[in-house]
Amino acid sequence: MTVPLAERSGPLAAGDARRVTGRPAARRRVPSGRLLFALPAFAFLIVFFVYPLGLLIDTSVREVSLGSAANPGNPVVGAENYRTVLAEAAFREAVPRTLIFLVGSVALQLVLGLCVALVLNERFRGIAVPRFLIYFVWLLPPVVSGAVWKYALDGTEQGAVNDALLALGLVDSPVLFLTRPGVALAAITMVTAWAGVPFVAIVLTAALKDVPGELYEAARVDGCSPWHRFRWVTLPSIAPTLSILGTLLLIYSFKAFDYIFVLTQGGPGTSTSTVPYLAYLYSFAQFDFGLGSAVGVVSVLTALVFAVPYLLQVRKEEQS
Amino acid sequence: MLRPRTARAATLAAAVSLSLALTGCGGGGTTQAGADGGAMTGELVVWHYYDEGSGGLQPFVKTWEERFEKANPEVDVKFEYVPYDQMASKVISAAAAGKTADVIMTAAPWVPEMVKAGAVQQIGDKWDAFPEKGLFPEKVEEGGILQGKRYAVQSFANIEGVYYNKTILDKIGASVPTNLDELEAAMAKAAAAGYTPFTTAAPTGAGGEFSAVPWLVSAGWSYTDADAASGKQTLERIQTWRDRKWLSPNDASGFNAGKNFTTGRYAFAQEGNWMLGAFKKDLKFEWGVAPLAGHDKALIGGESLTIGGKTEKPALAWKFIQDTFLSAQGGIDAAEAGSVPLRSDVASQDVVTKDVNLTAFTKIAAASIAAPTVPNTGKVSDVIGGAWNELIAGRIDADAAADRIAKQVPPLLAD
Repeated sequence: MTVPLAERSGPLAAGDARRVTGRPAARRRVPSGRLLFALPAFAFLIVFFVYPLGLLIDTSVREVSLGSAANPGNPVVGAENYRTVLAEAAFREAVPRTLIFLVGSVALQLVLGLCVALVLNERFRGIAVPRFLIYFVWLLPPVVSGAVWKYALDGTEQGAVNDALLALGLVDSPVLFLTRPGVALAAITMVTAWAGVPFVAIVLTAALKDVPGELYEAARVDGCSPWHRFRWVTLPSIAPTLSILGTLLLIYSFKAFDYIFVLTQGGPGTSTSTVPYLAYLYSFAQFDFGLGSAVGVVSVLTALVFAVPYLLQVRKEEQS
Repeated sequence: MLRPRTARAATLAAAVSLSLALTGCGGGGTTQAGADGGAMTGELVVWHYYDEGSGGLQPFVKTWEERFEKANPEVDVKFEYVPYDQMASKVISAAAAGKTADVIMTAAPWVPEMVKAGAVQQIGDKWDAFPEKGLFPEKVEEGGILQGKRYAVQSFANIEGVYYNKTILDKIGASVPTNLDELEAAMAKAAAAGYTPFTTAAPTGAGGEFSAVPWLVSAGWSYTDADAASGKQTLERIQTWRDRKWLSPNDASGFNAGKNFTTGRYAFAQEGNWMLGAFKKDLKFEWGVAPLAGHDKALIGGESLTIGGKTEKPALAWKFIQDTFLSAQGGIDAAEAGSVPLRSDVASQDVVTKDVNLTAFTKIAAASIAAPTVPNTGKVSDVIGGAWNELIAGRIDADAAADRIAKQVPPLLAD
């Protein structure tokens, strides 16, 4: 429903003008003095974002090794690095693997995060304990929690998880969590999701608290079961948050590095290397910075694909 | 946990021919400051990567600092730690900025790139003037030479051998194996008795080369004959061990062999001499190093020292290297830490000869080889280490591993 302009308080926004006239509002000239205040932000963006991005693109079309990295004027090879990357089996295998990792990781984070948020949204004695645990996990540096998981998932009976599985009689021999290719990717996905659940839970708990209580009251009066209240009240109310969260998680998960590095270093072979992790391997294991930068550019472009829907959603939210 | 990464760096040497019978003359030669050698006083910065994962080598940092400062009160030695993985990039970026450390600890795969970036300097004249250079095996020290020019020197070697758990062998009625058939018979008995027969290291990336090459070269394979049938046969044998579940399940996830062996549940472990000190202290069972035909050669590792390309004190830097790293006392330090000293006068001392396990390692070292010193040394390590990792993890079989090594190594050596 659109609220009549006359009934609204506050300054007129550009979006309002567009809705009224059907045309974008004429842009007002901003006094140049005010632009000075934006200079630090512009300088920051240029130094820390634009310049590195330019350097990345420039390196991706050159032949740069460790010994020549600091030298100016490394030979330009054009699209050769990109052709090499696309022809590499490691890259071609990494693409579907990255998709599997992304889908698995994001889905787990959203589902588990929502479950935890529903618990945290309730009021009961001892709620402080799960809240503390969630914040504790969230605050753990990935390298620390990754090291703990590495020991927990050790493929011998020395690993805590295997020790428990063997003690419970659920397996006959230790599960090779980190050294069996398919299993290792699943393990990385789960650990990454585990680390992301607190963030999702915290955000969704805030969203759940914004759902008007009257809606639940009305649903109860209409005889809705708890499942129906969840399905027809809760989910639609937090859908915009879920949508933005899902997009953000896609971007975060795509960039995931810490747990892959700590748990498997992309192995065995390259069986747990995602596309961004390959950029690291090319650059800092093989010291082929040109190749690594080419994968980096591909990764940036892919992240942009995820970022565009996010930006559109944010803009839509702002306008509404 | 001890991590042997410092010793896993392939050496600059071409081969080791330890001459244990030779006993050279002692005496320390010291370099006088040359007219162009810079100041012989003040601060001397040494970049190293010895950390808690370096076992008995880590205390060298303090020992060398104290010893050198005591002998040279006008010098202030500053040891600065650089993580192993970051040393090469740190040195090269520092050179680009116009300032390197005075002395740099390095490993073979990095040297060509460091030379290319001007991050290290030639030390051939200093080495030639070193009065005790004759005590070092010539073939080893040839390894510090790239395209006819010397850039680094080595003082002790690190290699891998096969440790056995004597307590387990006694329980299962097996004797210490002397060849691969006996080893497999003992492993079969260990498996039947519920022990894990063997543990090795097959981490992702280049690190596995250090564990793969001993089996390969002992069977007759070499870097220059990478498609030798013996290489494939050896990998097939390892695959058999894998398929029989004789290898530890966590071998492909990192450097776990030493940690595994310490638990007392493993009959054999392929580990380095750098673990001798820790094993002497920590192991609660009888153990030793097997004199094993089939693993009687290895890949030589160990640190080299070099002089930073941008140092203003090259003479002082060399004096430090000479008086600590290359000295007889430095060799004894290395031996006590479990490393194989390269100086012939140290190799014949009690600290080596009365230690039966260290002696076993020196015998292996005498027949061992080094990674080739070529611009693509690092990539060669990636190929062999990667194939070893995937073979042990069950991702590929021996045919594929042998094929990859045979096809990819020769072109890298030729480039």
